[in-house]
Amino acid sequence: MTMSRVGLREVVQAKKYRLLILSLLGVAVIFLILITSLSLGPVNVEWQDILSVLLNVGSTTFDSEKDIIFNIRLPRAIEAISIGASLSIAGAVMQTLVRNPMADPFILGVSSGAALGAISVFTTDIPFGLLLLPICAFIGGIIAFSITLTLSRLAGATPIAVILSGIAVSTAFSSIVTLLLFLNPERSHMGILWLFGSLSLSSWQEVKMILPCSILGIALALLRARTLNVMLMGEEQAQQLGVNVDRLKYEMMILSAFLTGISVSFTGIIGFIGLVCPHISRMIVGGDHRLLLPASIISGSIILSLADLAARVVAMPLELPLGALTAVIGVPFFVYLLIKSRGKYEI
Amino acid sequence: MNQKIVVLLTVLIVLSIAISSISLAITHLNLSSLNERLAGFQGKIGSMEQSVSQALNLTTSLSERLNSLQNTIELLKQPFPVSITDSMGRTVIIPEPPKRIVSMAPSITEILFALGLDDAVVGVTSYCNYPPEVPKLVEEGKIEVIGGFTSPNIEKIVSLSPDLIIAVKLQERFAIRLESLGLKVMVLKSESVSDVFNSILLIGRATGTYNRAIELVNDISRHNMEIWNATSKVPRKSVLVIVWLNPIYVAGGNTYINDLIELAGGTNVFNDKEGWITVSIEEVIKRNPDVIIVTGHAAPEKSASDIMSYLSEIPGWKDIEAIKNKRVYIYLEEAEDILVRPGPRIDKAVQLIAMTLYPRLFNTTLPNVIEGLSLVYPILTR
Amino acid sequence: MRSSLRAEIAGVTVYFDSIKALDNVKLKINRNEFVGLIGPNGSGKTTLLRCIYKYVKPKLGAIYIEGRDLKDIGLKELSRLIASVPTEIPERFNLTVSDIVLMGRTPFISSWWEDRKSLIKAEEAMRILDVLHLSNRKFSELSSGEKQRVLIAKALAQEPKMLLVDEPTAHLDIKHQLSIMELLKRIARSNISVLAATHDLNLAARYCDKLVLLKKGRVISVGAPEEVLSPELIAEVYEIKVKVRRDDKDGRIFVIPLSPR
Repeated sequence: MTMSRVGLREVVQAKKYRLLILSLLGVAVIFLILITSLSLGPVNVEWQDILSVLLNVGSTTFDSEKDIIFNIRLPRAIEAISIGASLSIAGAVMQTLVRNPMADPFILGVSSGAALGAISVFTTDIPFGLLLLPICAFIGGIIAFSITLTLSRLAGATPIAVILSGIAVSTAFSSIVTLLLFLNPERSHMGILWLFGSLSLSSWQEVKMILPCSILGIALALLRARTLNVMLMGEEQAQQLGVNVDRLKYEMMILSAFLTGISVSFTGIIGFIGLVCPHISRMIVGGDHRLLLPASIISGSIILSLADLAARVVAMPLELPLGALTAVIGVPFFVYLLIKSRGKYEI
Repeated sequence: MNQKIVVLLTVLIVLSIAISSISLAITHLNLSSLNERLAGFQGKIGSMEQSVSQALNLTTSLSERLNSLQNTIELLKQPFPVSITDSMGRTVIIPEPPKRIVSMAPSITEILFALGLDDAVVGVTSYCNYPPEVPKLVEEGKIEVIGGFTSPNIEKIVSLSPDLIIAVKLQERFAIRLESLGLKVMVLKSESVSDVFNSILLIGRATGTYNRAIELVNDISRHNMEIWNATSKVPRKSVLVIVWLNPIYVAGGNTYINDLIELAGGTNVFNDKEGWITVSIEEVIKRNPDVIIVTGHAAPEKSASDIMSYLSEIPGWKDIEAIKNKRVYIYLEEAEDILVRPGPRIDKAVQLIAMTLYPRLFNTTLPNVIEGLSLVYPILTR
Repeated sequence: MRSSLRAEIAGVTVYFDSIKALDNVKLKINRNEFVGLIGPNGSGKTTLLRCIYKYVKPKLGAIYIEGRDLKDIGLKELSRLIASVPTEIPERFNLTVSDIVLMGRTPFISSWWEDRKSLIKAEEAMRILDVLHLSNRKFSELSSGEKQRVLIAKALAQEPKMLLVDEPTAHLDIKHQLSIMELLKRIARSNISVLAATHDLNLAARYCDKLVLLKKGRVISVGAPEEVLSPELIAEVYEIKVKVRRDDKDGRIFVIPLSPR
């Protein structure tokens, strides 16, 4: 036990310092992983190509190798970073909101709703456009979320009410998905693969939609970092400290659903990131959201990027399902930290 | 003297003016009467046109046939650029015969090689194993593997710089992504035998091998007809084709396997239902098929004998005709391939099914587990 | 002369569904008073506290803080007037002692990081409660007494005019019980009114200036401990037989429980 007579000024100073180190380190690692993703793949590229692509991002004529780096690998890497960060933040926010570290962004029912939206497109004969699938998935997610929200309000709006409403909605929507897949086996073959999650169809068009939304959502969450801290003390205390608890809850639920919806609509269901990355972050930097949220952004980006890299590279040219790999990569980290912080981490 | 000349000139001028005016007037008169006559003529032409169009209406089908013949002749001359409308209604414009083709499905690879496009193929899936040259060419590095059937690798395809990519309906999303990268993609569907023929013809047009494609389609059709004729002499047997166990998925009507069964002289017990469907145990008992065909991938972890005993142990199934008379056949390896690939070997599939249904008719006995086609080959005519 | 009245509860009635949790409660609290709220379980003590920081809305009646109706005071402003000390807080998340105390400054901070004044005030509060040396410790690892002190420090950091405490001495050993009550009395004397709900009659008798005896939502008696803690009233409200004695040294009364009635 340290009997240090540490003043609060020093405590806060230390936190700011840690945030700085965390951010610098995090950005460096993410950048490293980005470069690695750009250099690995079925086609060999030289590091000079990577450099010139990154430097003339503006120009549009490339030879074949640079074309691959620029038009295929780069948008995919950026998408992995944004979606990893979005899902992680969505999970962190939900964990605080329902004051349960076991929560993940899918508890609001968004993922099952999105799945229903997407599978509906797969099982009907509507021709795909570039946007039809993501739009239907997103709408499905929003509908499911609205039902969860309404249900939880009717049930008292407590954390338990939110969790149970989410479970009810997720189960209902998932059953309909299963039914659709069952009744249309041949058409839904690709639908099932969508459910496993994949970044293999990433493109600049997708990035143009995902990146701004992710940045917006994450920025809004960061703005509320300090207020989210207060929520950890319980809703009664939070209100007593002047926080408009109801408004914050709805804000954060909508934010989480938005970030989750954006991610899931384009890539399918990628689990694990939203649950484990905030945990890993909490184990390393503690529960203060001013450190937790940035750490979640970084850990989410890193883990999803690594998982996607593995999906692309391990069985070249075959691509492995991303959803399975996020678990394979995330679990060892998680277990290591769990054991290392034995006893010190309360659940 | 001068006076006379002046008078003469004047008279000449006046005369010429008069003559010109008169001839103008006459011409005008002629013109108007000409107009009248023309009008009259037009009227007659109009009525003539009417009769001609009536005649044309009567011979419309003839002229349409003439037109399509003309088109075919034009196509046979294979002018490029060609504009293809694929199975999904999408238009692809191909400027010249493709030299670097990527096939995204085994059936398509087979079609390409059957059309003699060996040299033009640069990319195939990991499942493309026929004709036997394909794996050899892959090994030699002349053809690259672009991934699996459900998970093709976009990057690999792009790196081959293909001038034509051919995909199946299931892969539509990949087709869209490849198009957005500026590549030409044709998407084909195969929900019936005529879809298969259509695919072969479309590929033929797109690659400048249209006449070969027509020959191929004709050969396959003719062969199918031969089988169909041969089996029309015997009473039709009812057939069930199982593609997945647990739950039991079968081929219903509106699938190309249904067409294959019909062509083989059989009746699909589920031809009243659409698509690939799950069925209940009782439903199968009720429909009591004479023959059951199971594809090897219906139960990937089970061995063939496991599948046999599994089926006979299903409650109530031991009394089904097919099970009672030991008419359950499991298609593995090449036998399965020709059944499940909507490509140029569908006539072999029809033949195989016919031989399965009516072994005595073809003077053969087939084992219950069919792997290779060695028994079938000697009898095939192509 | 300036009124010494800090808060007035004027005829507050609260319904939970059809049950009357509070019935026409009238109470005045002065600036430097340490008021004890006593009564058996379910008598409405916690409900009354919740009304004061607007977590529960009364059906009838009004509450005035420094002469202003609670209805006219917004949540943010209220948080600068009133601080509540809960019995416990969720401990699932790795919050440190300094995290928690600094949260008391929420009503005053608008930026991401705490401003200088907040840090100073929070430190002051921690010094008063003697928990400054625990700054970096995890809250969940502290003893009950230390936890209670941290929570009071958080409330003090809020610079409130009134402190609401629910069961300040629950789960504490006797030494800490006494020191907390002593502390609360000192806080009251520093012009921060303290309203504490407690089960411990003797501690209330010893330290509180005024007691409010509640039964089933109604105020049975208000006044100095010797007025309120009569054997008859205690028997009526708590349904136990007691003897009440007065200590000859300092004149404070104490209650000796005898038997349930």
